[in-house]
Amino acid sequence: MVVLHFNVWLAARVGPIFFGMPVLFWYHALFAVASVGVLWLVFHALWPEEAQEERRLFGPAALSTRRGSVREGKEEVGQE
Amino acid sequence: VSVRVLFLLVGAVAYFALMVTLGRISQRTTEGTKQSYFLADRRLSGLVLFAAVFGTNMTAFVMLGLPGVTYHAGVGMWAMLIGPVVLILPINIYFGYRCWLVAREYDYTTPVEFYRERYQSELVGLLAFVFFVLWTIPYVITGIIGGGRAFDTFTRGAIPFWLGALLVTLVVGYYTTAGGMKGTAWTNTAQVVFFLVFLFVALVGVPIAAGGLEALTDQVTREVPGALTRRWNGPTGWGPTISNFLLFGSILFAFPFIWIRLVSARSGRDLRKMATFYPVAILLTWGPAVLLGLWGAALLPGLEGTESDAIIFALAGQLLPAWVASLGLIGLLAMVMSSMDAQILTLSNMFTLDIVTHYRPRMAQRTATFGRLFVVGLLAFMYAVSFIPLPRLFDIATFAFTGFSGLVPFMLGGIFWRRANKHGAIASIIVGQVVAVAGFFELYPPAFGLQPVVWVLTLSTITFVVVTLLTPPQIEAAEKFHSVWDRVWAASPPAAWRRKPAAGAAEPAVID
Repeated sequence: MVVLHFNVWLAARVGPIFFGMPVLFWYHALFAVASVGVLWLVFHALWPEEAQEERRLFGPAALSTRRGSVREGKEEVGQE
Repeated sequence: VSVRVLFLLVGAVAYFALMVTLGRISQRTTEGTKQSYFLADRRLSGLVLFAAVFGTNMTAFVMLGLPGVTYHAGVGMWAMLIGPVVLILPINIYFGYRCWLVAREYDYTTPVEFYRERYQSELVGLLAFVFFVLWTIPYVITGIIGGGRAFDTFTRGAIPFWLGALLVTLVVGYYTTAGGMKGTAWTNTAQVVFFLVFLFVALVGVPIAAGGLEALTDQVTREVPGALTRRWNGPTGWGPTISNFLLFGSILFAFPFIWIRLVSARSGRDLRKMATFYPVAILLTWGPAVLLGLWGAALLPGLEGTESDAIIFALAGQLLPAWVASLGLIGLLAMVMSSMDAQILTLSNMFTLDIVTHYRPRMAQRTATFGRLFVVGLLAFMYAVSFIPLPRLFDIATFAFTGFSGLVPFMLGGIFWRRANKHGAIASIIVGQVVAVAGFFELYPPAFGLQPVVWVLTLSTITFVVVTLLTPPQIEAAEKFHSVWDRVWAASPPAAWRRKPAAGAAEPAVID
């Protein structure tokens, strides 16, 4: 995807023109939409499953190690 | 007063009234604690969180700079910028997620506090504070100037610069001091709606007013054929392409006003959703801006300088009804103010917590009061500065991107590299900022068309790595932070981790 963003393939091509814009514009519009899918995959691979993690991180067991009283009582811990 | 000006005034008054009302409502649910005032109790979520970050990220560049550049350089500028912005920039939110975990764990509020603790160094904290503030202040002033000029230009002098700038300053000052983070998040939500609605109304209205889409397409093809292809020279050559890839790809995380909004999120899930769908929001905003800039080159040729920057508003003023022009003024004010409020709140936040409270702990009980006083004082100062002729102020604000990029290595190193230490961080900040400032004053020649950001990022990164490796590690400081990430990743490993569980993982994954 990083290579595709440089758009060397369509740089000099004008047609087909759609909605007053050359194909290059739509190439990158599609690229932006496709980025959502790619980012979903990237974050799926890298990002911990929050529902579990939040409960474990900010649940009662973790409170004793925390400084201050920010989380005590009034904040929603691990809830959506 | 013409009908057009009347529409503009009525629209602006209604818009300001809404902002003030939202500020007042949010004030009622904002307590005097730093959690409540500066972080909205860490409860920003869903659309409000998205708008708070996206609205702050979208500056007048989208309404003025991008269509203005497209007007002259054609679609190549879009092709050059959109790639890193939609694909790489959202990954910055993942970096913010790592900070969010630790910030919640230890009750950190600002990036200055976060990195001061990470590196166990007062000097790192002070340097970070100085450069965060130094590069943020010009942004706020340009917001005030932009608001004043918008009124002056749109109303053709009926509301002069001084009054327009004062109105913008007062309204932003009110809802920022009254509602704090919650006030700015709510107003940002409305502001994002306003500028998106205007862009889409213009997107639909301009082709209709120009005689239909087919006629417009013919005119674009005939009048500006060179703007329809991407050129690999000048402002869209290889040098600027590489430079902007690095700049736009890395910069979001280094903005303190974005960083604070990320750690104000209610949950990591909200951050993840925002990061995933960020490209769609960019597309919906930048796409219309580029389209209108290109159409403007065919419909209103011959504009130069700041005239071409205002091409969207020139199109709205000449081709569309008065109420659309009024919506355009609101859209521009919304874009300017949605960034300005976050920046001013962040400056207040850092000054109050990282300087006043940190060095005078006895004042900690009155943080919200100090925060509000600081906002008022700072806005008054910046309003006064906006009258001083500062020809290069906009250049400085633009260049601030490069200044912020010099802070990226020590920020990323602090959250990913266990070995990272304060010596590397201090050296990296100093080298990065020296190279950035030298670049601004053109003290070294551009090579291969590469912009200063390339040298700033390269040299500050090399400095960070080399100095860190040559000096002793800070095992205890690093462990305090990495233990949080280790615990989370062990308890709830992401997909890429599940195949090879970390050695000594405390618990198996129980997902699915």
